Amino acid sequence: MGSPRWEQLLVNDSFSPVRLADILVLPLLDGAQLIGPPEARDRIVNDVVCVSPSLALTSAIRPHSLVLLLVDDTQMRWSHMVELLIRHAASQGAAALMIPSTEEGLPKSTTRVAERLGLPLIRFQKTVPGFAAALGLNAVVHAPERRETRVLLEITDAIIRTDSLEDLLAEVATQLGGRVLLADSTRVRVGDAEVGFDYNKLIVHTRTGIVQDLDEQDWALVPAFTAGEHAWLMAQRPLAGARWALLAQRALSLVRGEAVAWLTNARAQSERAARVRSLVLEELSFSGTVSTELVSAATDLGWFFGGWHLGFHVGVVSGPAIELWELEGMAERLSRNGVDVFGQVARGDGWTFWVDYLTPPTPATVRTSTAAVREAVAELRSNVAVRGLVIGVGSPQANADGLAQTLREARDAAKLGATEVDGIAVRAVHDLGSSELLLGWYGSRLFGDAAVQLLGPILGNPDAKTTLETYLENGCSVASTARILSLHRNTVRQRLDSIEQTLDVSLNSPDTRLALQLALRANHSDAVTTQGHERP
Amino acid sequence: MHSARSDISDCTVLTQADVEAMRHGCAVLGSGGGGDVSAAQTLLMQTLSTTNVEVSSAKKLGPNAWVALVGAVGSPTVMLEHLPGNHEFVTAVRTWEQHTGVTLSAVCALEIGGVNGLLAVNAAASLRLPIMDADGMGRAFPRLDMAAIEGSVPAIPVVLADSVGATVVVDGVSGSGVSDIVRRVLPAFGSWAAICLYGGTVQQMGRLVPGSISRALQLGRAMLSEGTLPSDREAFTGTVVDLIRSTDGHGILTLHGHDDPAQTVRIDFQEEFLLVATDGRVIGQVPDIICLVDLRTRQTVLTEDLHLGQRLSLVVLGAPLTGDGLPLPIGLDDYGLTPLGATARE
Repeated sequence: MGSPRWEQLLVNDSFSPVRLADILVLPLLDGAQLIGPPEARDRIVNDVVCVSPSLALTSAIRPHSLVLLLVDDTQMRWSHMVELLIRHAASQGAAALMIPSTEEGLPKSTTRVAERLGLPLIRFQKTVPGFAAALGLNAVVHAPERRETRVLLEITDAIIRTDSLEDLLAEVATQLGGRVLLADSTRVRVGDAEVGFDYNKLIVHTRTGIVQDLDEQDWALVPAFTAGEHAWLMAQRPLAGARWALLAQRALSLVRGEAVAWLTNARAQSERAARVRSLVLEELSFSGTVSTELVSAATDLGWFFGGWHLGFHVGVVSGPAIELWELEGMAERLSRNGVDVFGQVARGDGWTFWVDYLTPPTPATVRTSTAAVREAVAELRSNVAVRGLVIGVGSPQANADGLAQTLREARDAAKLGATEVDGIAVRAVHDLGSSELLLGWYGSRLFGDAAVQLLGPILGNPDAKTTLETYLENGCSVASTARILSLHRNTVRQRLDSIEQTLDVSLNSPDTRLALQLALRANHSDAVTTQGHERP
Repeated sequence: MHSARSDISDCTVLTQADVEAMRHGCAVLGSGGGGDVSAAQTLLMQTLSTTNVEVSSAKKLGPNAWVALVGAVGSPTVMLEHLPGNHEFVTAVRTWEQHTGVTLSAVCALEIGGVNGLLAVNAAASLRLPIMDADGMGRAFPRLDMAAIEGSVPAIPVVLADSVGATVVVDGVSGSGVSDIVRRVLPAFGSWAAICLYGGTVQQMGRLVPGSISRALQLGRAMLSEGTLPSDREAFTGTVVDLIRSTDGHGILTLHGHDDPAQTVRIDFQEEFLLVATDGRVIGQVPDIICLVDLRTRQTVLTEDLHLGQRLSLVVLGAPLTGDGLPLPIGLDDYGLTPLGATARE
């Protein structure tokens, strides 16, 4: 699905004729205005003819010429010559007529005559002296490859002298007079993030002319593929011609190596950071301290063990797992909202991170940070609506020992919060209350196995499990259960009778009801633990 | 074709009945300028209520008869408020005779186009002199030095007179010096004055544009009977869709055709209409007489009365020739416009 306009215009990569669109992108025509239909940009230009007003009607004009009307301020009024010149040039098959802009503007008669006779007009700013403009245009028309080669040489120089990919792409953008960026299918990696197109529409055309319409804008694309990552170098300039597209592709090809190296390096750094994070958390979890080597490595990542820490744990209760890029996006959002996240670590049962404070955070500060995290996590849910998420929040603790503790508390809070999920649940350790008693049971493998054994016959029956769970969690009320599940009371009673028979239990017994309720909660907690990951 | 031809029939006497036709004819020959003729029409009607004016050709006057050009100079707009009378023109001519010691056999219009054509006839009637069937410009022009007679007969002495009898005689200068002094004196005269200049024998005045009075009458009668005139060039009627007036006094008018809405006519103007082109093709240029007639009022339109939405008929008449058969020596460059060259007009 390439750009039909460009591809139809490209006759041969090396010998593509110069067209008006290629002239209009020249710096010396900055601010120039084309008056004519959009297809006028595709007109071929093979010569430049300069005329003065006094000789305009007798000048020899060849077909496909760009006629440039040269005037100076000392000359007499010349605007009346324009329409006569339009007729003369149109009759000779000229490509277009260039006239200097004036404060008065163009009379309607001039635009009407140009339209009627089918000759595009170009009004240019008189910032460049007429003859200098003529020479510049002549060079572009008769030897376009010279200018294009100069652009590519400038970019080659920039590869040597720039220190970052960002600076290099900025230089390429300057040389091309457009926008240049590196993007993958999800986001812009280097360059202006406000790209203005839907990433999901990034469909690559596989012909050699890799040019793509995205939301009616033409982009020149060059792949920058690495192992496991597909990114694209992209360049765009509104209304540019086919020659510009070719030049842009060549320019992007020159810097492709730099882009691939950048991507590879970024991936390696990301993986290293993830490894260090995991190691640090492992040490914190088991020993409560961190070795000197890991402290040094963690410091390189920007971590800080002094001060106060508030731990968070985000778990997925239902729906697909969270992708790494989503987590990174969440961290960016939190940072924009004034919450700087450290130590983002993917764990078997979710993602753990913490926030650092130089002084002990007040309850208000904790509430603000928690609210910011909830808002950022809500955006994760908006990416995939069926997700059920839980956020556990630890208590503020100091130093490395405190970091381990707050992270443990956050995970425990998330486990308990997972039992009552509807959308996003946020549980802070300080308000767990009596639920804390159950924490040990939920984490116990023995209890987990017993729960599976007890519930076994109905675990494969979602209706039965949901009915029983709702019944037990809502005060054993048939009426409430029926209302919540949008069922008739008789249906609820029938199901409960069936459950009693299947499990060989009596729901009249308080002990039985308690056991079943605990077993169901443990089953939920177990689901959080094993969501797409191995249980530790 | 209404240009300078020797076969235009001689008109011998102008009466009050001819005033309306003269008015229309002078307006046409004003080519969009020359001032509002209504200022002079009423005066001429009044003057001719008690007398007639003899119109004499050069041949009839004889080669040794003395003739001088008369008219008004200054602001036609002010003239509409400070209306002309007879006194200032009589004073100007009599002062000229007094200064030169020459008794005139006739007077001639400085400019047949616009209000000056009627004022010259009025002056002749007031002086009880014939008016020569000729004029100094063949149409209307904005400057004294644009007269066809310029260069063949000295303009001096130039006499200016106002309605209260004040007179100024300009002598001893030539060319643009005359215009310069006249321009500086006019404010003291209330922005317009009667003028008498370019005096000489009929033989010396050979470069005058002949037949101007007859031509004005002929055109005016055609306007009265038909409401418009047949154009020497292609006919066009259209509506004003764009009007640009620049600070330097130049204007551009755009009309869309009635018969062919895609057809575009552009008219450049300053004090008069200067250039007409349709779809990039020149139809007429100064010194051609370019006239626009309002289709609603059947009146010729001055450049200052143009407005959007007007429905107009375009009339282009070939420029008259001078008495020695030469084209009028005025072109686009006299108005600061780049001349087109001989290949421009198709």
